[in-house]
Amino acid sequence: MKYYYLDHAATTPLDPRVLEHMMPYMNDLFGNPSSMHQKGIEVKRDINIARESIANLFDIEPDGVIFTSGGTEATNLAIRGTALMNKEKHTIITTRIEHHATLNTVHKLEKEGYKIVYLNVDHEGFIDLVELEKTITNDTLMLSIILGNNEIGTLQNIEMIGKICQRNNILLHVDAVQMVQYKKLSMRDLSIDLLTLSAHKFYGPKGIGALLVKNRSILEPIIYGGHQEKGLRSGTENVYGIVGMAKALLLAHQERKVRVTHLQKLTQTLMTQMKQAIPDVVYNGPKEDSYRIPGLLSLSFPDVDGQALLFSLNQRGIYVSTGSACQANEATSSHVLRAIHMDRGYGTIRISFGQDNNVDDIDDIVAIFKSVYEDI
Amino acid sequence: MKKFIIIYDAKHHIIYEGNPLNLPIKRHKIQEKSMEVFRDPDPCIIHQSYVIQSFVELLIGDLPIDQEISFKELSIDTEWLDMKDILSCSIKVKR
Repeated sequence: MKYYYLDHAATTPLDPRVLEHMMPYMNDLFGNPSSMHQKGIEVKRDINIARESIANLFDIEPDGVIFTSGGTEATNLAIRGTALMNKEKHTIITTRIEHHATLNTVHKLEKEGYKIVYLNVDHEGFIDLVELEKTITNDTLMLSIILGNNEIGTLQNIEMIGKICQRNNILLHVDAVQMVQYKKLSMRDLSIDLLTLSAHKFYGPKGIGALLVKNRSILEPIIYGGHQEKGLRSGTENVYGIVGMAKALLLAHQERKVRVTHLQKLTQTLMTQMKQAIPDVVYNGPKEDSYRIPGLLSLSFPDVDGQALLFSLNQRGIYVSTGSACQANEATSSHVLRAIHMDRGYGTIRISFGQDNNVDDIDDIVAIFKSVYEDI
Repeated sequence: MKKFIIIYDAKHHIIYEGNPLNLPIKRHKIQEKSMEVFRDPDPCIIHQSYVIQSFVELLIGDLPIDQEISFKELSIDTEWLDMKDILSCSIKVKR
């Protein structure tokens, strides 16, 4: 059966060029980077070349690249590591539409006595910048915010947010996991102190990510061991993951314009055709491409169950996500859909296109959606 | 138009009418199916819902609309349905 993978916000396939780059590190280049012999030294050097390459893309020093097991660990380190090192302040600001890596980390800190302020968002998922500035007090340590929301695609105004944080002397952590491949993010120019990324969202391997930090001294480790990553993240390095991530990020940087143009054409074509085929469909998040993650669309359909829709689409070879979440063993609308008040009476599907999707396939994709929606 | 189903007992009384996804399903059958599909004996609600939809698709996926069919005539296992004397019942899919 022909299938359409439309779930690139969940994960992307590994770019064959990245795989090729990684392969030697699964064979001959197997040394432990901490070993002081040729086998270790050669991979230690390659890790640091990867580190420099990533640092250059974000305008930070190489020692600000801390490799982790993925985005979740990077975000945990960003928030908890900053809190541990800066105990004089006890308030953290975040939003209601963060990834669970952020929400569950701040929930834990809340239980430990921190004050967490959750910014509301409007119906398109944007925070109110005036509310943000009013919320900051002398006790505020940091703002942790998702740049591109993984469910509805909303892109926050990071330029203004950076200025507000700098003006008020608070740290800014940006979860850029979904957006890092689509936007040049100079941490220097945007006043970003900490930034989370994860390789498998941009055609790199799973199990590798990084926390980028402008100034390492604001962080305390949350994992202890053999002092790798200069003490900020102990544990033998995932060498093939690291070199693969650096390669994937470089390719994303070099091909950014072509990729974004391709994805925007896909979403525009689908939005137009879907509305014609199913007039009842509602698009969540920003309507304008420039305010939404390229290739990501959140669609709500009235009077259907999102899980049932997902199941039937899966049967027909359309692989997407829903806006449902499992909470306390109950399927509910996700916290993001609740935050934008799209949690009742609709079934929600997230489509996230990738480089392997073609505009020519949209006719077929929309026809399957229409057929499934009418039949369910 | 959305599908719903009617199940009649041997005396042609309606014993179930509504969304097929709300059919009563034996708990241990959900666990068995979950093991088969996910290798997980204790699925979360979303994975349970996938399993339930798999059963329902198996039951009504190929059934014609507005045609009453005896469960005996169906060449599928209906053991998973938590309804008494199911083989003496019949089912109709409506829109």
